[in-house]
Amino acid sequence: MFRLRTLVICFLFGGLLTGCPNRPVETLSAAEGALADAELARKCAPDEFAAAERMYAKAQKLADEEKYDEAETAALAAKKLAVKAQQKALARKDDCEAPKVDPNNDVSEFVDNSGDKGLGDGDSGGMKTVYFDYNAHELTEQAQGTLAANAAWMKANPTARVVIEGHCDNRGSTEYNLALGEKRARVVRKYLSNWGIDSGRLSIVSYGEEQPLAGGEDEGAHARNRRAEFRVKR
Amino acid sequence: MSAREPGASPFESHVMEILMRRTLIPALLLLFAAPAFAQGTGEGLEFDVTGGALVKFNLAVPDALNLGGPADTRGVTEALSGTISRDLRIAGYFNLIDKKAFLADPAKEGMEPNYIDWLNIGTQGLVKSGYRIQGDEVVVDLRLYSVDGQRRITLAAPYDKAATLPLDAGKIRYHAHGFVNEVIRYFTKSPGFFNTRLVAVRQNGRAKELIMISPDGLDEATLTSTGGINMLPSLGGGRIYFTSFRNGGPHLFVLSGGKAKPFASFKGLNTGAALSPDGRSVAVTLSKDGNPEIYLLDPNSGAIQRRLTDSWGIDTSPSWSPDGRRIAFVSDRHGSPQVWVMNADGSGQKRLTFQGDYNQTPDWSPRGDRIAFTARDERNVFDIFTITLADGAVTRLTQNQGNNEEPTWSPDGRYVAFTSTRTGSSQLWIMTADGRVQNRVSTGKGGYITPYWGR
Repeated sequence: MFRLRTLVICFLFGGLLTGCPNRPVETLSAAEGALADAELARKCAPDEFAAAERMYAKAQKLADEEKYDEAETAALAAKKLAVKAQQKALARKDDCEAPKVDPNNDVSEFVDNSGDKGLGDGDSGGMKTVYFDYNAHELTEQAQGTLAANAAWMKANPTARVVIEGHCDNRGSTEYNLALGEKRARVVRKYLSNWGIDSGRLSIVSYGEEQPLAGGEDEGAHARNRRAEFRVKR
Repeated sequence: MSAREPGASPFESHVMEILMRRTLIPALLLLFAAPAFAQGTGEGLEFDVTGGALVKFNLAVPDALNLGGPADTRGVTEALSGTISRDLRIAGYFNLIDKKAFLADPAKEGMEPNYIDWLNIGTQGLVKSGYRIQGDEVVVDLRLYSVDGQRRITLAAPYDKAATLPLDAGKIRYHAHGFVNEVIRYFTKSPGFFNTRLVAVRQNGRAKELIMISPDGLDEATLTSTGGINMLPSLGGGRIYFTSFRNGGPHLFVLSGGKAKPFASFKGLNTGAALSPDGRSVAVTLSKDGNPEIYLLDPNSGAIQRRLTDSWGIDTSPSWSPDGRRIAFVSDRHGSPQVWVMNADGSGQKRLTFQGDYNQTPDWSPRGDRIAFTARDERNVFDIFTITLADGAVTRLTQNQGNNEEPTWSPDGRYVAFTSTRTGSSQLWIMTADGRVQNRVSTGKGGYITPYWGR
């Protein structure tokens, strides 16, 4: 609170008081950033991390006391300590972050070593995303308009094959949303084939709530996530 | 409720304290104490263990004592008394007496209690732990005393005497969990659930990976590391079934012997997997016939045994009754997702929930009488409820504390694990089956989804 007030005062009177503009804001925030980046060190190099935190606190205190030169030096030191702590933490990472497996209830046979990886890629070509109402897989008028345009693009690009991805917002259960995303993708495929697109060019996949476009818990974010997206393979 | 006040109540102890202070004659103590512990017999205390924590027992758990040998630099104390205290708190049946209230100095007292010092703080039980480090081993002595009864309670082996363990926190913790299970058996006639395992998904950025975790929130092991989406694990029959996008769509895999093998990759959805209690079928959701429906698959080959549902809506999230004769599931065929029940051959499909318009994730209690589920209320908040099969009575277990979702019963049906966002991130919680005692068990940043308690 005190620092905030100082900042505000500096901002207001920055032109008048020569001391204020010298507060090493950038160096301080660089030190703060380095501390934030050293999150692993909090656990894996706790002593080094604590030293960096102490130095940063000292830099802040000096700055609050308007000892700006000393504050700058301390902030630089804090940043250096934080970076060092993180390096140390990374070196120790394997020991420190290794999952602690209960030796009497060995889970190793459940650990998947198959090395399989995740998802496919692709761009959306000229296909525009369509959106759905909450817990619904019926097409709104707006969605129907978008799909008519998408059908036109597919007719203009007759070699393009399209994967329709059904998505949901993050409310509701993981499994139910996979089913709902599937219903959305199916409705879109049906609509496109009604527009004369060969259904052999259309495949579907549901991602449920697994691939949100927008973060956050507000209705705006939810509405952007309830969608069918298109991935074009040529 | 057959609940009965066990042994000497804290009030009685308090009266005794006033009467006798600390100068009482041992004979006088016996006179008073004898009728009290006649109720709390050696076989444990009679009270209803189905409804959760109606009666709470007072227990004192002093820090583990170093009984000689080198100093503890390997976390032995924490792995003993720390584990025991945490487990007892999660169990819900116990009030742990604040260490500051102890009259005795546990370090000076040693492993044999001076009962009167413990009676006077109103505790019914006392858990003592001691250890002696010998090279790369540690001798561990765990004891339960009945303070009312003024005697040591003999627990089942190996907890009837000191045990020699490797000097390893995980192994010591495992031993301590087993001891707590027996302490809970003594007080409630049914053992605790520690040393069982949950599987869940943990989200890290966009990646979702499977984990296995102890019910005390420790000993977490990461099972998959694809960087992609792995989800909906279930643990049973020595294997883990799960859903993954690693081959493009949501397909089912089975994890055992250190490798994930494809289990079901039909066209469309292949999600969820609930192994039947007899191990002969896996209930899953497939959309290969044009709509999400529930099917039974062979647990080894993944071949279709039978299709169970056929409705225009979504049918998903199957959960077996413990006798294997029925399956609860979610259907939105009446317009909104609701919990339904059917026979295991798909006949007799019947809607079970009628309150609210968004009921999901049924989990059938291993006791058979109730189904836990997640419901969304009119404020768009998710909470956990149970519904009784016999009369459809709905009981709310969580309220006004973030979103609470994905209930999964403990193997004995006395507890429910679930995810809650009440602390700001999605963490694993365990509550008693009546919701009275709720404890966060996971530590750290959270991101836990869809826990499944191995049975």
